[in-house]
Amino acid sequence: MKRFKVFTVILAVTIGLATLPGIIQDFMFGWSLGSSQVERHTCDALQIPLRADRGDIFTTSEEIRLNGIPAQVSLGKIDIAIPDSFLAEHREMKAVRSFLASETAMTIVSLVALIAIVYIAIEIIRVLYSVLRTRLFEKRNLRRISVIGWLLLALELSFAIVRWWQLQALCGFVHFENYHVNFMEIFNAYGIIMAIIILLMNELLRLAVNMKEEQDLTI
Amino acid sequence: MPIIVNLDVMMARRKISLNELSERVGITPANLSVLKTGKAKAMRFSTLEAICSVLDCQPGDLLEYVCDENS
Repeated sequence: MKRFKVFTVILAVTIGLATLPGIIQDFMFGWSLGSSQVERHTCDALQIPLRADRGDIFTTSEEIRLNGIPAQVSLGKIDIAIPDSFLAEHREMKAVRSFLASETAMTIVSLVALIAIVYIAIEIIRVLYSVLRTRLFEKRNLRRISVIGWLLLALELSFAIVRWWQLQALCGFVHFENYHVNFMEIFNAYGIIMAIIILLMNELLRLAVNMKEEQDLTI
Repeated sequence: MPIIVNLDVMMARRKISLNELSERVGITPANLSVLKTGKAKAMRFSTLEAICSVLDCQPGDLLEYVCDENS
């Protein structure tokens, strides 16, 4: 149990170190943007995974313009900022309309993900608490871990689908010369692997719960 | 499960209560109740021996196999 507590503390510290700086930086950036008096031009910032068509290109970081849209090309990806004014001007284009719809879908999926992450965090705390009270091998914990695994998997797949839609729509009005979009990188493989590992561990726990139940009912 | 535990029948024949049997066998009334109601999944030889000894019966008097057509 002592080792379990040590690993729990390490996990909490790792999650804190991995997420907090990003949250603080984003907050500070938003704060400085909000308090600045400069004229603001809103835009959609996207990071697109690219693959060069030839080996001799795509080796340096450079600023380019794609159809008049500012973009920053670096090894393996492109950061593109699509001004809202551009989207408003070309609203009649089918690809732009599809892109805007995908943006809305991405916002909805992100909101659902936010709620799901809070729910997952609460469920993880509940499972850890049950371990501390030596009540891990219970069916309700199986249910909790199963929900965590399936929720993670569903979130990752939803993000991948919406991201695929977004990039597909983007390719309709932005043309990448010498590059093509690498659609394989829309999958967050680590997230999917983690979800599957959680589901596998849940099946192991299910075996343990069944064995415990049998042991408890052996008189 | 096709194995029926006839502990309640033997207890009635010997006119012994659950609490008294649990005290004499050395297992908790809760566990004995699990056994009596047929919820138990397994039974140790030591428990069977103790119950048979207290109730003065054979294992066959306590356990009965009934063919289950569904299984």
